[in-house]
Amino acid sequence: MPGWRQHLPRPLTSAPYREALARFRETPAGANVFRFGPYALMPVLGAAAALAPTFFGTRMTFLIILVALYVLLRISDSLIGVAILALTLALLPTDMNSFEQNIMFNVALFTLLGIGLNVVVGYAGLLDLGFVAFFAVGAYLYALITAPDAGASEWAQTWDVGLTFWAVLPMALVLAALIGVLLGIPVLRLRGDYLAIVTLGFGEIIRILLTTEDYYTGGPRGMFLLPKPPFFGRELDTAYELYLVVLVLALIAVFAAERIRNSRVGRAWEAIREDEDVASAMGIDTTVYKLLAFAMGAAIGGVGGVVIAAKQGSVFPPDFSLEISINVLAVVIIGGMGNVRGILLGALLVIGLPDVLRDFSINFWAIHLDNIGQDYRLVIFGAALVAVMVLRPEGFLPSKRRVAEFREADLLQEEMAT
Amino acid sequence: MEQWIQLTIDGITLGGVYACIALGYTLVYGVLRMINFAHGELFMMGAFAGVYTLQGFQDHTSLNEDLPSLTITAAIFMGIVVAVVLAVLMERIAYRPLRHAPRLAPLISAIGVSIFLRNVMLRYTNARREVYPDVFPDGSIEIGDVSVSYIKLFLIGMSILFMVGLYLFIQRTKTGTAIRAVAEDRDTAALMGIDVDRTIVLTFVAGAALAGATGVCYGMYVGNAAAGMGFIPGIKAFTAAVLGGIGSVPGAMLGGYFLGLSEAYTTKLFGAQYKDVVAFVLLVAVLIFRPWGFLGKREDRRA
Repeated sequence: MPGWRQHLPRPLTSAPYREALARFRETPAGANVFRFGPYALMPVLGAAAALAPTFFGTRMTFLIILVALYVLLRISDSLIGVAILALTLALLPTDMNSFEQNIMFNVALFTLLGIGLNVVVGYAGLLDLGFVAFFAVGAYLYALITAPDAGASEWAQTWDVGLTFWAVLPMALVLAALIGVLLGIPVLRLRGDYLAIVTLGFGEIIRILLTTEDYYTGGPRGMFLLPKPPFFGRELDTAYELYLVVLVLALIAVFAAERIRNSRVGRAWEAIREDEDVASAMGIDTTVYKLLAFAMGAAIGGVGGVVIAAKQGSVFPPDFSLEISINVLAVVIIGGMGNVRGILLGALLVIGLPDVLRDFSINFWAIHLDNIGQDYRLVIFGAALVAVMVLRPEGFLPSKRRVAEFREADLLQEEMAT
Repeated sequence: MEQWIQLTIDGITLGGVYACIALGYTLVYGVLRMINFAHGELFMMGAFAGVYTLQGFQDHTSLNEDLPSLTITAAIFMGIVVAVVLAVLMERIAYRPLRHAPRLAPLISAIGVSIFLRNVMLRYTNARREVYPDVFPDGSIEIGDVSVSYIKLFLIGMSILFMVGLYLFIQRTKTGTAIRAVAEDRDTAALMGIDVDRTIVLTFVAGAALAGATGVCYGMYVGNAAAGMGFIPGIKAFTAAVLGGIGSVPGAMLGGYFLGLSEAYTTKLFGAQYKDVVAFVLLVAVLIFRPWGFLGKREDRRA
């Protein structure tokens, strides 16, 4: 650790703390804390969620949730932990007002998107800067084939398809994956840098095409009056109900992503990420596996698009700007690349926190900044991406292997220095 | 016919701009094997430095009318200074600590820098455009039915001047030789007594100076500076660099002009709304059929 960095407070994950924690875990009392701690946290978290809005207001509540979830994510590795987490998340917004519920919806949606991008960036080590493209594909597919009278799109007015939300979900999944493969084929034979810029370009092109091809998309006038998801004879139209839908989708995505990561495919991705040449020498068809990662990420992005179209009830080209891609990337990077649990924390930090601090102001000495969360979020994200890469490249909740990977270079340097 | 000549001139004007930015990408890629995503933002910051300098002259002196050549030179100089300072800072803060990190890390860091700079300017200007004062003499040269405005000629001339300057710098000076040596093989260059860190910084400086100066000229050409102005030219210049063969200096120039001309003709053939699409299509086509570009080295295929 060179120079000034050694003066920073040690992160809680540094060796002395870790060792102390490991020793504690081996004592009988410690083992019990680790086994039952997560369960004990659930009522705490539930109580905090139920009571906090009354006592503390939105900001404090959010902070409490953040801290509680961080601790929960930190210590629970088991399936039961995940189940508790899911249940807690499902019950959390019951007592919130609609503004807060909308924030939670966005957090959940970006968790879902983050899980998708994480497959590409975190597992396979491919930088995709045009993730919004697949998001847009899902959203516009939903708009085109569900709405009986969808705004300015002539195509939708001529062909009244009228499918429902649940039918569109798998279609969006397949279509987005297909487009991902088509885009990936020319680029994925090459190394990551090109992919970054091609996807960046593709994200922009999609937006341009959505604006120009107004026979299908309604152009800048967009498409609206989209139906809500039907559910046993009624419509899911509140933020909370849609939040639950996203949560379930996110859970399925987590499950799928984790299963794949621990499979032959996941190990191939890992090998490609660490060293493509070696992976290829070991007989891994790198192009095929990279395409697979890209397609899976795209598919999840497409599903996210369907959800947002249903939630908003409208789609307009500016909704699918580069900012979405950046937000999702920030969720993945800040949470900790390659780690599903980190994504949730990343979404809370990147999506939730700025919304909660929307009208937060700083007036200090000569500095007067208003509406921090709203106006300065991208300034802060930019700085945060650099800071995370330089100071803590594994993110806040990293996967173990990722730490090893990022620290390896540092260790080598230190060894060489001594 | 006149229309095609006009389009060709437009293409050369824009191509020169792309070529100048593309050189920065190519130089940095050459020594670090990294895409400096924030390079387009240097171009944008240069344009802002230029517009504020000229506005300063406008508000406090009458030099803009009396001696426009001086104020324009000063503006270009300020553009270079600002871009160079930023480039040195970003190399120091965001890239150097990550030189031994996995490939993804500096790339993400560069994107962070790019987002940061763009949004700082967006907030600083309150998302408005800063209008360039009317310094440059209006008017145009008429050749037959074709008219070329002075500012276009100026932009074409300046971009060629910048490129020739950079080319001589790379080929003839000792520093340029060091840059080429580091690009060829960093370890061997270090063994030969070249200060690699210093050379990398100088590479950033050279690319940034070019981007900053081009930013000012381009800003004068379009008449304003905006926080988002670096993004699209940045992507296109990168495309130009890839077209020409990334890492190759003449390739970046060729790629820039090729892209500029393709765009100009696309506007005529398919309509103006597709002019941003053509760069992307070209990029993908090159990556499929000739990933090492027009003039790149073939073994760079997978780099």
